[in-house]
Amino acid sequence: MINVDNVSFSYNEKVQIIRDVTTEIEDKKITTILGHNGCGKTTLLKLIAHLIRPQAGSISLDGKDVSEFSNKNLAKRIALLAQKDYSSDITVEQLVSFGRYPYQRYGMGLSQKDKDRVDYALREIHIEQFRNNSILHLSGGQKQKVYIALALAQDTDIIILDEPTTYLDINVRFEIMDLVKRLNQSGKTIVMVLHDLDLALEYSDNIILMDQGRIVIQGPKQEVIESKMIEKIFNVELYPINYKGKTVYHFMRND
Amino acid sequence: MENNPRHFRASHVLIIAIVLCFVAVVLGVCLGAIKVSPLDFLQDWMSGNKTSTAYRIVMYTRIPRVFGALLAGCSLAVAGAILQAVLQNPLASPNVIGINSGAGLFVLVCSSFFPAQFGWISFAAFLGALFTAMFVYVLSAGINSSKATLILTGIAVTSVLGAGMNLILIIDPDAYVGASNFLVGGFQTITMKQLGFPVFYIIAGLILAMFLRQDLNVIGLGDSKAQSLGMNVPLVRFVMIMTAALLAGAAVSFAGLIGFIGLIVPHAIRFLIGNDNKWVIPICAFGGAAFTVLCDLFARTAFAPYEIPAGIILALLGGPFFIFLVLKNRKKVRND
Repeated sequence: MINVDNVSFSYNEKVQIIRDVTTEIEDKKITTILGHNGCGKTTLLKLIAHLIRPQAGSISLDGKDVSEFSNKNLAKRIALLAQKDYSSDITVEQLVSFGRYPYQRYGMGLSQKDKDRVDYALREIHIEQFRNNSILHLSGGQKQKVYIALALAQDTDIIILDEPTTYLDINVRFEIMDLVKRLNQSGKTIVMVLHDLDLALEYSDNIILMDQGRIVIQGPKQEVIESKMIEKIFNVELYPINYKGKTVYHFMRND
Repeated sequence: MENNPRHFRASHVLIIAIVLCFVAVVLGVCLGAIKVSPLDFLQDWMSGNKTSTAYRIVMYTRIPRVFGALLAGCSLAVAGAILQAVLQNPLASPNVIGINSGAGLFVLVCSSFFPAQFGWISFAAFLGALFTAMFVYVLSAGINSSKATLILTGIAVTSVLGAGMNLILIIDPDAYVGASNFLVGGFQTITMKQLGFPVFYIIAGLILAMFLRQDLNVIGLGDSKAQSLGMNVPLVRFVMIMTAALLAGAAVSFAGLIGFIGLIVPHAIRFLIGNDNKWVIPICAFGGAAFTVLCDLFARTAFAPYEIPAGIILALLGGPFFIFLVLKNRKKVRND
């Protein structure tokens, strides 16, 4: 379990991006952080991944402060899919094999265990057929799958995703979210930032709703929906629709 | 994870680079203003005939020169590959961002103030290269720069360091024997004694570079991703820049301000095999060595009996190549 306790952070003295945030990320659940652009969602993800240090408060993983983990030990617990697109001419297999970096001895190549894990990740994400392709020649959706395979090769119990569906076609968005759900069902804890409210509500177990660096409301999806805070923050109306036995969500602009 | 066609191709390119390197060395030793048959030389060598012309030319002129070109090409190409990966900038190379000039200035300062301390030159070159690399990197990173800023900072620093070198040579014209050759870069006057110290720096730099190959790949993912994979990014970046400085400084200490090897060779290799630094680094080592030996061979045979410094040939090739890269990467350089 990840505990964020009274955390504040600012990139400069003028603007505080994260203000006194306290939250708990439950194990083996999908937790999605929602909010307007610039409200501090990605910064909160970076704090959880220990890419930046909080100026106040603390973040702990299973009761131990994340700053007490060595870089490599933390990388064996938390994998991060950042927004940045990698644009170097390397193969899919090679990119996925970078997930084994925390396990590699210095200056040594991949062990048989590492190779097996890379094979497993490629198989599990169904991208084996692309393994020798350059990542430069993949579509946006295929690339996103490769990054997820990299996280799977990293063999962590927590996966952090920063806007995994941005710039993807609608059908590919569902594919990626199904993949995320499958990872969660296999025991992974997922923390992500999403801009698609409908996907967030359809796939998440828990929601953290942020506004201007603070958490407005957090908890199980249904509680957050019933609070009407999503509608208030985004100025929309939410329509749950029962479709093929499950509830999906549609949003309309609030005039 | 077997039967990767890229590994197959890269291993073949590595073999070709090794063979090319061997061929370049043989040609470099045998060809010149006077052609020397390898058989004649071997016969003289085996029979201990140390007074023959072939033996003397090869032992005292050609071998030091070819060995010097081999070492300089190998180290500058690897230094260039490291800098491009660690700075995530396709235009970075030891001469473009001022590392060579930093090493050159320290070599001239060392030669001027401590002319008797021959062994200090390599270390001074390393310090000059390291200080310049760190200065350029910190200055350009400190102002939240684009890729173009790093290059422009390097050009400005090169200009200042060049003025410093010229100032030393005006005040103390005897600071360095063959100073004009040093400023252009070349291998005409190299002796084996000059290579004694740099060779250890280069071996150390190459060993470090081989250890850093996977880190170079991972740091290319960007700082955040590299850190999330468990890399101590500032430390690894410092070690990488230090390794590049070690290699470039050692090369400058005997070859002078020879440029563009670190730009041309890594790009050619990446064009052939892609960006996997596990292969790029060793192929650059052999490819850079072969390329430089062949450039030097061309420089001393194309206009025989006259010869021109290899640095001029490399500048003639490298300048247009740099412009080509700027045009090819202009959008990326402007936006990143």
